[in-house]
Amino acid sequence: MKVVLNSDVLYTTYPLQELPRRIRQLCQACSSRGVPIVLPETTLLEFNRAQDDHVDREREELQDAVELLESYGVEHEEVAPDSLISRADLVQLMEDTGVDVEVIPPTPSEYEEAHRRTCLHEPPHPPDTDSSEMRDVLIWCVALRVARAEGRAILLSRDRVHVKEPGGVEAEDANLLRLDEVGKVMEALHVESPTGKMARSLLAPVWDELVESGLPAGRPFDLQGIDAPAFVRGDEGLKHAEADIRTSGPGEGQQMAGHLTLELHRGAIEEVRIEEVTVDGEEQPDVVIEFDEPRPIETESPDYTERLAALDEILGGGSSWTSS
Amino acid sequence: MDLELGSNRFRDVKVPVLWGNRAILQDRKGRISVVDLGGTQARLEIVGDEPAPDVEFTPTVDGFKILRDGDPIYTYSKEQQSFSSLSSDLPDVEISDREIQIGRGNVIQRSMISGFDVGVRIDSDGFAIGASLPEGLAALEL
Repeated sequence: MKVVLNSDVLYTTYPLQELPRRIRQLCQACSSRGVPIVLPETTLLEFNRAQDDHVDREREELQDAVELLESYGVEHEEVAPDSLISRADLVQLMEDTGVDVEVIPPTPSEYEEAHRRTCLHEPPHPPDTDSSEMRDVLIWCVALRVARAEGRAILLSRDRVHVKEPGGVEAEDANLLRLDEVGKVMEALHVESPTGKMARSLLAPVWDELVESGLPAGRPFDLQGIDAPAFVRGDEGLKHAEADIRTSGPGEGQQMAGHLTLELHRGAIEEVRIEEVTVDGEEQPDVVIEFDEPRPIETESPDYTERLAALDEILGGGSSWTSS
Repeated sequence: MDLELGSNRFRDVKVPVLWGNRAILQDRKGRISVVDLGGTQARLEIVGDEPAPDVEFTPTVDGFKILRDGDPIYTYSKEQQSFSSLSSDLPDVEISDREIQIGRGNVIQRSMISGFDVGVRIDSDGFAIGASLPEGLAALEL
């Protein structure tokens, strides 16, 4: 298994000095599972080009600042923008997290294949666009190669050329899983994502009671997958959560699936429902628990009062406001 | 531009960035708030870098995703103060202290957009600086 990156998930709007949090977490997740990251050469070249633009702009701004100081006779140490600001080595930054990184150039046949597909608007080219970008198709070809060589791979990309339907059949045949978020990659690698962490914090305290109430699931709580999660906070903390979840089933190797709904009040669970329950695809009864004594849980609760006051301040716009 | 938000009425509001139908605001601590002006009533979605009360969201590795009836609408990165639409062709937008970046390579200095009702108006066709209020925003009281 390897994870292939498109350039759009690496793009930043500033000169990179350290990895953005999402990339650092991706690298750490891959490293923890011994999964290498693949940078198609196209991805690296695009990243470097964008970074060069940011570096050039930053250097220019620094030079302008120096000249402005000098125009007012302000003394300062010698400033050399070119040596102060330089393009970071992305591969080195990623490898510093412990992950293995491979830079893979396209083969001559992949160039030819990408050229043909782009000109003829063949998959993965979406049918509703006139774009003739060959770079995205090149990355697609490299990703397919990696998936076929490894038996499976993940392509992390937000580009519609990579994630939309025209490429679906080919990706499935090659066992190339296409994901558009770092969190989803983490889940695919069985590394706890922020969503998984939040779900675990809500379910782990009440899991034993759910199982004792008849939920056909294993113990301890073992979240194996989560889809379509949605959380809602109130003024006093989380008040609603729902998701499709998969956990270990009652027997060895079995899997339970169901739709989870949680209602909370003041940071405590009042009701939990797991509906549309199945074990290895076979339907099972729903489980609903209403707690006479709500179960407190630990989740983050931002200070909305202060934040709303700060928002009031800027919406005031210097004029009066009235509250009706 | 006047704005009704819940039971509060705000007069003479300046919107630095209108991203589609969403006003992106920044408080004095640099935190981002977002008001959806596209419905019959203005709706607060993000307040001070956090999902607003009663708004559906999902956490991500560097922020969160805003949902509507379970459907993802956009992601917000708290680290980069950037937005990516998941439901339309709106370009990404990133807010920093000095500038606003729209898509790739379009940089607008913030000093250029002060004083307008809408500093930068962004839609799927492009963006305009110092724009007037677009039609169809029924949430506003003019």
